[in-house]
Amino acid sequence: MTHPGTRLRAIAARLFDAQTLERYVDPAVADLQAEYEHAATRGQRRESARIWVVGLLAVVQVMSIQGGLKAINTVRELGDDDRRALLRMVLASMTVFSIAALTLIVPFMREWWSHPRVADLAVYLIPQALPLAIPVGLMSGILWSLGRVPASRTVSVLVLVLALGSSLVSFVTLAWVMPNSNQAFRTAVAGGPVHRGANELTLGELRQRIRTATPLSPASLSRNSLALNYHGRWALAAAPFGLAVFGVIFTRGRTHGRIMRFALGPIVIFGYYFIMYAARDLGLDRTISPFAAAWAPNTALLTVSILSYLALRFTTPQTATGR
Amino acid sequence: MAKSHPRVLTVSPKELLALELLVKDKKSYGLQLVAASKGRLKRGTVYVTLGRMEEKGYITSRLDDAPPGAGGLPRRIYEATPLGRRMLHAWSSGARRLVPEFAL
Repeated sequence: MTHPGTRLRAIAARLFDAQTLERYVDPAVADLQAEYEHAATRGQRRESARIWVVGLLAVVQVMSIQGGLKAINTVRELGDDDRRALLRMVLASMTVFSIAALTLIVPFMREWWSHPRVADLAVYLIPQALPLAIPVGLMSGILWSLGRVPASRTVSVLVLVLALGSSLVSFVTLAWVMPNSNQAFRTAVAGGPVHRGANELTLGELRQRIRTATPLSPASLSRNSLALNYHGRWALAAAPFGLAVFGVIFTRGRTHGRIMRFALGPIVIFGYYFIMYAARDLGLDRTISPFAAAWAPNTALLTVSILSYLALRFTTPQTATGR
Repeated sequence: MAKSHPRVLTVSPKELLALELLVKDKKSYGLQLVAASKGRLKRGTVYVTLGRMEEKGYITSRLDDAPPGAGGLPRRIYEATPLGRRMLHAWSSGARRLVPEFAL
């Protein structure tokens, strides 16, 4: 019999020390396995499947809580250099993020400055800007700050944890918050109820709409664009983590000149969004599938990251480029 | 030489609930406490609560002997320590005296 939670426990064994594993993770896994075995040996297939899901979620929750506590302790125990590097990175990221968000929001607002609910309208636009501004800010912060002095392994791991959190924030925004804030904006501007478009549907509603659209109907074009919208939100939510991985690979254990640090970020970000919009056009006219179109920029980013890793690994460490 | 301050013993509402259940049932697995609490203790956080209580000395735990033929990891069984029992009694009697409406 396969014991549920075995793989998760193996991951936990790599992340946590023996005491954490023994005291927090193992009891959760052991209870899950006992409860599952009890149901499975009685032939209760539906119940055992439920136990599997609920129990695994509980183990993930335990690991997340312990992971968060470990991250807090790690930050507390950082050396002065690492702490300064991390603080610089966070401040640089937040500065660039704020500028990027304002750049995305202000042009939209120019048309509505005289609207009686102008403050509400500005707030409704924030969720739309977040998924684009977050990766820009994070990437810039990593390259500008961590490229100055060689980033230690601890700082690199903390940055990736932060990037994962940013991706989760992006996902929640794209899945639920942005559609509702878009609709609130459109309703406020129209002064009354407005029919929801694709951008105003939550992820679940979008998935449902895709299922009910028949492939050969005149609406098949809209089914394609709905699918593109759906997969595109998942892909965009992964962008902060993907860009952070690239940034960490580039700065891990080596320094770079100022020109490289300040030029590379905009080049990579421009390349990412260029591929995103180009692939979207290919997906809309069905040259490639909506899934392939949506994930094209992340695929390109992954390829560049792997090639960068291999190239930097086989060159001498702390290669100074530019000035 | 400066006197070291005695450690202040704290107990959260969830820890009190877990203590109460352990004192009542003598020994329990984590999942049994979740079931006995009727949802007041959550499956994802009960192990964190129990681990913290063990660090404070309110409970102790040991690996249970697995029944024959069973696979998987051995389960951890928890029970209250004398300190834990005294803590529960102190909170219960103190709450009864100060705020009778909220007494356990």
